Amino acid sequence: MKKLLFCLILGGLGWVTISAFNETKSTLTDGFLIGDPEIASITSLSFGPEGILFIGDSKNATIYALDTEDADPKDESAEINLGDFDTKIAASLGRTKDQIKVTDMAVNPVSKTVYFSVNLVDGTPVLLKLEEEALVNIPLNNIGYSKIVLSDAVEVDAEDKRGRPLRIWAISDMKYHKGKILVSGLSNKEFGSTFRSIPFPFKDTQDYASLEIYHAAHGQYETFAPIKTFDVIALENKEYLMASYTCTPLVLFPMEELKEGKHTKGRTVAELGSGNSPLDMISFEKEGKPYFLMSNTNRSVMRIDYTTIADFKESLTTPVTEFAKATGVGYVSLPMVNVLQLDNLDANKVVYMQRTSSGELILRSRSTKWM
Amino acid sequence: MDVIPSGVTDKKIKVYLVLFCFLTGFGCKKNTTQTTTQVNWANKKAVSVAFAYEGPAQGLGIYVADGKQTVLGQFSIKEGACTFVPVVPFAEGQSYQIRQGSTTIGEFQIGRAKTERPKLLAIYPSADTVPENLLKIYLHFSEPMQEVGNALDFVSVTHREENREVPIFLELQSELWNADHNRLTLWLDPGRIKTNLIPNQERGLPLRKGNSYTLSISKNWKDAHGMELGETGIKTFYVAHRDGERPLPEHWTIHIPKPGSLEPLILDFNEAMDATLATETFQVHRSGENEIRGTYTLMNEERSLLFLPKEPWSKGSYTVIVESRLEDLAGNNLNHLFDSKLDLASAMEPTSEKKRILFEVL
Repeated sequence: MKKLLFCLILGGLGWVTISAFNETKSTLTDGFLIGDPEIASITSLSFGPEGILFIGDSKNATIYALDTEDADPKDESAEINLGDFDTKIAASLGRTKDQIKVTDMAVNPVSKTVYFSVNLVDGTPVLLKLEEEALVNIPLNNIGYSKIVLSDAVEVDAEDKRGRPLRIWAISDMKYHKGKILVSGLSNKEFGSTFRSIPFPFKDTQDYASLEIYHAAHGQYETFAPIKTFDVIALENKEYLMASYTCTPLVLFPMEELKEGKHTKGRTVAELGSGNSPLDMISFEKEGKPYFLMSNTNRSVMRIDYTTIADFKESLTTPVTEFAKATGVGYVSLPMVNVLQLDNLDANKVVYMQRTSSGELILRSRSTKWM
Repeated sequence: MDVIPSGVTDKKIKVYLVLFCFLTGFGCKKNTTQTTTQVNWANKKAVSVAFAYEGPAQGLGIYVADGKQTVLGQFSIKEGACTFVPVVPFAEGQSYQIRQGSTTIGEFQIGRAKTERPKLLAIYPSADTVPENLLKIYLHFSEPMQEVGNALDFVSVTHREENREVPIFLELQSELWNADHNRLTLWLDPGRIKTNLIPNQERGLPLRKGNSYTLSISKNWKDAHGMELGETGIKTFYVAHRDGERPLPEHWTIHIPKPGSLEPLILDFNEAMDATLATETFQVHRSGENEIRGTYTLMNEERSLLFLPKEPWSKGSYTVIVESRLEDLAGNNLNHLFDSKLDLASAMEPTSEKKRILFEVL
């Protein structure tokens, strides 16, 4: 009997082990096709789990999920310090630096590898990654992928049979968050802003939320201002979309309220000065405290403490009257200007791409201790 | 060193690879042999290079002339011949070096697949007078333009009376091109156009009434093949009063064609419309039936729209359907003004997705 019990337990353990093994195996790439996803442009990069890279393609108004097969976990990244980085990228593609443009940068949070999207002069998109100090090309014509076309939620016209030109959605930012791809964008025709939330693995659904902010620098409510960059932050156990707009209001939207067809009013927590446009936004932890960083076109990198946002309970609903004055939650200006790309490298480091005062494009890592 | 002639297509072009030191005439004891190379073209792109090579694979690299970084790609060496396929085609007009270790063993240059210059076809609005709250300017080019750098580096606006450059456009990281990359939308800073917004209060309207401006499009702007425009595009315009009224279809004039004819249906708007939206927001229907096929053309500096049907008109009732997103030059659409407060009163105004204009062909 004891023997039987032992066998049963052993069998049970074996089953549990197999089940556990099966559970850890990815299901996210199960429906992926292998081949050429026909990416026309790379506007935005963002990593999801298991080394899945999301690519925002403004030309095709499509989001692609690519299986980079780069999913070996690594805790820490080596330091990065590369000069003349645009020349390096250009030369590795057989070009001079005036013939390329780095359109985005993202770090694979699993392998800690830095990825770059590059545009050639004729618009050919290229995906590169950094292995130690060498650039490696990721061929885009034979890769595991899944894709979803951004539906034109503003105008779906069944009567239109003339093959009119498609409206372009310029994707301004894109991030993966808990099983969803969040996308902000603007149209090339009407002055409109859109924000979409798309479940991943891709199905046929995508939520299209309409957002309203009080634009303190503009002194009125706006629904059309374009979101430039955003992040998702958790404050007091609640998740918020932290959106940064052109002319720099910083606005919080409760994530749970961003739903299809629902018009959500955001809470403007800071007006970081007009005459500036935000470029990139990341969250990080330093000594156990969460912060976020924002790089800008005409300001230095700003650091904002999460607790100051949580403590700032009011919403800015009175106009800022002094030009380029910042109000609302406070921020610390870091001595870093012209930071064009920014991402978390590992738990203790960020990586950034910066145009120095001499015009050189550098790629560096920096400890969060100094951020 | 030979240059591949212009206008090359898919066929293989033979070029002669001559040693750099041989060409320059400097004394160089190494590499005194001459190697033949072939650059292979497909779809007007230089997709690979082949050359005679007997040495080892290790240390062999293709470099942009005087570059430090090897070009990414794949070598295959077989029976004294080497082929290199770069990850992206070689760049037109670019010189390359083949090196073994630190020694340059040859050079080649890629010719241009295309040598015609691109043209700036149109600037919209085409009128010489614009309202002071003008919202958008469109540039149309004959070719896809370069997808690097910033478009605004090639566009400038000068205040003619004061002879100074004025920044009037909204800077966007995501430039608003069409998919073919030959049409660009530029927004005049909306924050400065909307009355009483802080940018408007601080800096005023981008364009001021009673003044003249010159829009210049730099001749150095290149197309996707690296060819420059070559000629500066100039448009001078005068700024008139504010357009504070939305377009009203009931005020438009309609010129009705004769039955049995292929005459155009003409709509006169009595003001200029947005050149892009006006060609894609109209449909003509035989009342209660499908859309009539035909072509839409803007005329009279975007003040009129001409519809030419494919089939002759027959007698009966017709409907012109116009989408309410159609805008005038100030961004006022059929439902509301661009510069309107999002208050309760305006939210209560009735709006519709489409407006209908009925007419009879008699």
